[in-house]
Amino acid sequence: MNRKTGPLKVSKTIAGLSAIMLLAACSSGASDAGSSDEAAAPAAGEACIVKVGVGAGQTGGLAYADVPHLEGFELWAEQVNANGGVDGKFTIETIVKDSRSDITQSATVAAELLAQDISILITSADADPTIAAGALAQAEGVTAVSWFGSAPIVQLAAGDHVFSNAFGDNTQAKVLADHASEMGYQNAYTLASPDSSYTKMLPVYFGEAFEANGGKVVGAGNFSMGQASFSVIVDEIKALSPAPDVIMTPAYEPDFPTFIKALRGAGITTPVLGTDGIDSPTTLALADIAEGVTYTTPGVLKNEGVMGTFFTDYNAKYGKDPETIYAVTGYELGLTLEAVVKQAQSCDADAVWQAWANLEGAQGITGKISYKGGDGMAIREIALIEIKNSERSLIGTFSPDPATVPKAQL
Amino acid sequence: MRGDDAGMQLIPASFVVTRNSRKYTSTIFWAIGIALIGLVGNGMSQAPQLLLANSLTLLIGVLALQIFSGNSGILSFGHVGFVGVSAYTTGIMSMTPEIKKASLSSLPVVLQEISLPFPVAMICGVVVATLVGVISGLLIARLRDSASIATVGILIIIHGILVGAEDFTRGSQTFFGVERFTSVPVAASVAIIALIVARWFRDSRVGLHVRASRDDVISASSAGVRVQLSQFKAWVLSAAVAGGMGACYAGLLGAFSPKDFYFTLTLTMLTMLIVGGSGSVAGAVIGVALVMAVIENLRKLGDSIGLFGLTNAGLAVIILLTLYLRPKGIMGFHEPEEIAAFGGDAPTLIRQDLPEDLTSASEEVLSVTGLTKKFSGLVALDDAKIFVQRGKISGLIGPNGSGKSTMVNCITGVTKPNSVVINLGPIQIHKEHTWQRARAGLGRTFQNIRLFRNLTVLDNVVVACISAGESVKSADKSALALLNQVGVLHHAYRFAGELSFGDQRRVEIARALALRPSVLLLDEPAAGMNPAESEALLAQFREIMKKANAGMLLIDHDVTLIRSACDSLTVLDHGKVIAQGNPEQVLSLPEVHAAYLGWGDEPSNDD
Repeated sequence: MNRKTGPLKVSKTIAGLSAIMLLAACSSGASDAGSSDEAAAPAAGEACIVKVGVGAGQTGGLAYADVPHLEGFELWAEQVNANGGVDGKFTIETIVKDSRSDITQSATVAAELLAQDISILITSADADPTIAAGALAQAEGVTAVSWFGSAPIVQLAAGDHVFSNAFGDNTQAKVLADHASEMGYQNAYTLASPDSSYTKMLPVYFGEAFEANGGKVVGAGNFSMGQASFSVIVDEIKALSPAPDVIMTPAYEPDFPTFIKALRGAGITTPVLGTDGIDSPTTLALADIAEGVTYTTPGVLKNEGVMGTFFTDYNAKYGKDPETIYAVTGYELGLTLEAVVKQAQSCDADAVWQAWANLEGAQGITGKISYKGGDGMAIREIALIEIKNSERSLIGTFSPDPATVPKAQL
Repeated sequence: MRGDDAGMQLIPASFVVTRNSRKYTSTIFWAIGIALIGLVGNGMSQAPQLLLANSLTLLIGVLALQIFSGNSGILSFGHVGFVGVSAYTTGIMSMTPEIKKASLSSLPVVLQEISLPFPVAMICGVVVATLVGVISGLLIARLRDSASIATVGILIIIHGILVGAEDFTRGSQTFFGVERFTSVPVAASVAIIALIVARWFRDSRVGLHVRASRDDVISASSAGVRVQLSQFKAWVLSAAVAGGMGACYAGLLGAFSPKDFYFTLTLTMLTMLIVGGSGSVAGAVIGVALVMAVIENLRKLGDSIGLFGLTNAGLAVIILLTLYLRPKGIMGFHEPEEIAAFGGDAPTLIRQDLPEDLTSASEEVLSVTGLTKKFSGLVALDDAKIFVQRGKISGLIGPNGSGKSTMVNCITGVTKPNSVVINLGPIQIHKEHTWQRARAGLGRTFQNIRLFRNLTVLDNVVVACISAGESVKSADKSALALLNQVGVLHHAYRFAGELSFGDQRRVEIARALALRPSVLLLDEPAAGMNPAESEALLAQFREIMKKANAGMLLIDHDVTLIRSACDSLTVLDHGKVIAQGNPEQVLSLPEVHAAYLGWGDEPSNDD
């Protein structure tokens, strides 16, 4: 560094930086100042704007789920507003802020949105940011809903104003367990991974439900997400006595394909039950190897029936077909909100919460959606799919009685 | 220095206290700044408060990284692990028994019943992070080039433990129930403590030693720096500070899982450090401020125009710009107050009485015997020997590839010989490490100058003074006196890398002298100098040697210089000593001529 110009350069830099910092601080102050005017809320039944704050991962690790959800939701909002809003008077205003899939940023954007008098907050499809943001919403008495976080602990961790648009992992496991019992399977093997809440807890819930049905878990294995070989686990399964009638695993890419290839390669033909994580083209591309694999999912993404209409509308807005069921469930969150606002006849956050917590039988695309009597997770129909000839084949849709579902475990 | 304290006085007292005054100025400035942010932030609405608390929390972690990575030059990916460990500990220690019963039912009963106040719980977090730092540091300090990669392993291992220790952490599931106690003032208070620790460490004995090792491990060892131990201390201290971030992070998030303490957070923090400049505390502060400012502003811009991803693009741009325009980060390796101070006048000395001539009777200060070194099949040194007497210059010559540099490396402990006995005065040193030999009184210079280029000339010498057991304050004084002695005092506050070749050589000699050596080992000190300069240097050597009361081993190609300088001469050829004794006699031997035949009297000096 040149000694003469060094100090000057540096101090200039510092000055520049301080200016930027100041700007940043000021702009955040300004955006909040405008929102603190507490205009008198319109009385119930009067027209108002439902402000929906979306603080989710438009970029980063959760964008794969959060972005399609928002696309579906915005399609719904556009359609509703084209008709003058819910009931012709409650128009939807969506304010989107990117949490960058970061947990602290999720809290910051939630605080920013809450400062804008939103009626409802929507958070990422994951428990951590949902709890971080939901706790702030809880403190403000605002409903927070996760796009599709499936760990059934949001209310326990953050409070009764926090919900998730997803069915709980425990409910999903119950559907699989019921199916297993229905098929007459007696002995099950479960394969879990401690690396994520999803891969860890689903087998636990499955085992509990399956044993409650009279079945028996004869073996339970563990894998590391991303592990290269499953040969040890396959050998373990081969050696089991009694041999399992069914294998249940919440593994998904890249673990599920690796596992099932190793399993079938070893000549084990035991039926395999999977979860919504494998509802992807990769699984179908496994061809013969995946034949007969049965798994749960929110719905079958198919351009026909009610969903066909969604395909048409989605294509008209975005110029492409939806690539994942998450676009559908995003739209369904809109439909849920529509039912809630209809019920509440208000944009007031508390009225929205009351209606949300007591919602029953809202019509979605994949089936009916309820929250009343649940643990904050959507009580919704779960589709059971079997892979036949490399195609998704619907076995049926199920909505287990919450009373029979294994209790969410902390 | 030996005999110097009595004979010398430094006038501008300000220079003696400069290091401290800089330290105080800097910490007070930043502390007031952060305290103001804390106070102002406390009155803001929730979103900016969260932003500030988050920024300050990140600042603590980036300062932790600065303490280790910035000073040692070893990029650490592992610190987020300490953050995680501390966050969980703080959570467990502060949560109420009721919440723990619900969410952590398998927690040992003792822990389940504990519910400490936040500050105490935070200290527990720091303590546990420090312990993990001690354990992991034992590993890290043993590695040199691979240390950075090993820190990745440490992150992965800690992550694995957090996932695996289900009874304590709920495994990969969300850990929740921590009260959100990290307000802006709380984060600001911890950040101020972290800042003071980081800034004080920089100018501490260990801090200076670690910074020397960052620039050059081998010459640091030769200046008596115990590189491993210094890096270990820096690692543990930074683990403790990272624990401070974890404690705040727990109270900021309220709910978290192991994945929140993994590569994403690591990369965010490293980005901040690299952009700001890892080599200074100011760099850490600026890095956090700038990166947060960019993230926030671009995010808001992106949100308002519906263009998400602007943030990541912006971050990529500032990283690229930084690497392109200022590879060492915005602040480089120096604190602004250092750059300001170093731009001022150079220090001067008023009175300089020559110390009395201490040269005592000839006595052997270095004896090397039976030195054999084999590089797989090649015998580089074969039963070589050399001796140095106090007050005498012992010369070593030999054609290229004859083993001179290998001999120097074996004597200083940089290379491990197959066999040797080395006596430094009465003590045997051949089993000691390089730094121990340096501290025992073996000072050296390098054939291709190896100064700590990013330290000031003064600090280059201070590092060695500290090795000799001085406090930083007294090292400052001694180093100024030594710089005066070799004639580069006016360069004291310049960065070593900026000096001319000859001056760098002088600084290297001052650094060697700072060890209070009984033997000075000079490897081709006159390389690249013309005859007049060599002559002047030689005169200086004699003077220096006399004052330091040391012996000197002079390695050079220049037969003329050797002939006029040395009291005895050793000639090496193909790893063997072919002649030893009086220079005139040795140089007239036919085998010595034969060894040099074809090279002439002035062989090239690219040994």
